[in-house]
Amino acid sequence: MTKSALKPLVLSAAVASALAVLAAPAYALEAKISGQVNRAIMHADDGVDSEIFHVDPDNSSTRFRFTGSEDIGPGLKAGIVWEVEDQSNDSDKVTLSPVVKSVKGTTFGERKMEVYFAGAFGQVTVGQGDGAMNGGIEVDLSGTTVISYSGTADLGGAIGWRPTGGGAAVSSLRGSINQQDFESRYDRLRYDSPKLGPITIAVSTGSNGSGNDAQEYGIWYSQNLGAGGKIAGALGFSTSDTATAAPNVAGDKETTGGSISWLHPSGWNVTFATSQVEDDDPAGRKKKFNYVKGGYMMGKHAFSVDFARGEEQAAADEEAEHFGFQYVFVPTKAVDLYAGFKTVSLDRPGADFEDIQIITVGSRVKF
Amino acid sequence: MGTREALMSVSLAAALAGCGGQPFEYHPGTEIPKGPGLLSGESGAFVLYSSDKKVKADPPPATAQAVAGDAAGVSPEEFREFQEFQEFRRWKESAKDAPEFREFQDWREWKAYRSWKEQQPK
Repeated sequence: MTKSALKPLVLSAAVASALAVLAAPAYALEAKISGQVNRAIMHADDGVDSEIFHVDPDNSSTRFRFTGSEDIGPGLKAGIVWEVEDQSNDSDKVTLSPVVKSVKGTTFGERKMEVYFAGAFGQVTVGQGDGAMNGGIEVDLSGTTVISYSGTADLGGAIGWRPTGGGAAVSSLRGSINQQDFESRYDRLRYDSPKLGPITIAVSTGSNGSGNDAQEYGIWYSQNLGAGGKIAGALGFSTSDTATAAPNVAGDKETTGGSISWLHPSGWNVTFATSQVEDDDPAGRKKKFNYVKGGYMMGKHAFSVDFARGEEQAAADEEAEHFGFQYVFVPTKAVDLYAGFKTVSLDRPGADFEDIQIITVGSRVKF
Repeated sequence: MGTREALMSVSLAAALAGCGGQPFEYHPGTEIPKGPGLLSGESGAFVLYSSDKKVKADPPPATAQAVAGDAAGVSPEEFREFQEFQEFRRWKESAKDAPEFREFQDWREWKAYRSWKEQQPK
């Protein structure tokens, strides 16, 4: 389906849903507030310098959320989600060269400000929030995502690569190994189908964080196989304009990818993720990302080992690799205690760089 | 293996795994966890307002019996009797000094007297 055909179709569905709501009597109404605080101590070593940082891990940032919903008719619900984050020293903004330990935001970071209508037809959502495939590269049942998942650059993402022969740091960890998780959160109109067995279809269209038009299409899957364990996954595609001004050689940026995770009743689990980004520029690179994690959950404990590779994301023929191992202890459902180590290397033609090593210990508490 | 081949393999695996099993709601570990909160308790959220209490006080009888019965392993008839008992207790609380309640107490005392009298040797 072309972009031009999708927009009016989704918009019509939203208007129809809103009109169907108008004459319905009010039923149950509920409003809630919830949130979490996540803090960690992160030791980072770029091969030349090392520092200890007190950070708010970007894996699952400190945030609060206000939600409200009301049954507005038989089988019809309307609701709002307003979620903001407030990070003191975002873990993917602190740097070693120069040393920047204090990164304080002056305003709340917007995550979601959306309204939705849900019923047998599925759900229509409008406003700032997850694109249809946000998180599609990040499906993970290991129980260790709070410290490591396919978003490997969330911890230390702004740390630069130090040339082995000396010299200033160049580019950044995130520039070379990014999971490329579609368009993230932005102002959009989104439609989610009702559950079709274990599958849900999602589409969205809107204006992304760069102010460019973006559309996403995808499938979400989750199933409990009983003795076979649980499987969850996602597969999708997104397209966005790369610029609004002409001439635009790059044209549209297209992201294709997905992830799948399997948790066996014994506690053993495995996760795979892959993504590829390309644009219309004939000279452009295909930026690739691949991720694999193996883990084991036992009662309140979860362990995992993961590996990721980013190819040609910041430069031609370059390859960045991540290797890490993690542990999470959940004494109560409201508290996560976690620790992890990772080492990240970059191989770029004509240049050698020091590896970046990061040790992180922290806790996330849901209030 | 290229991206497309990998995605096709993933899709095939998911399709095969789709034979049998029940859906479950996947919740990303990077989002606010589901379940209780440290301060908010079992609900996991501070309820600012809920009209649910009013709705739950007057549920459709069939629904209440089905849900409560299923939860406690009690039959619908037994649960109906329990509801009547609850109504009796509410009435008893509200009618403590009313003539009807005094008459009810007198009736209970008379039943106890009659039962005692029947047990006396003739």
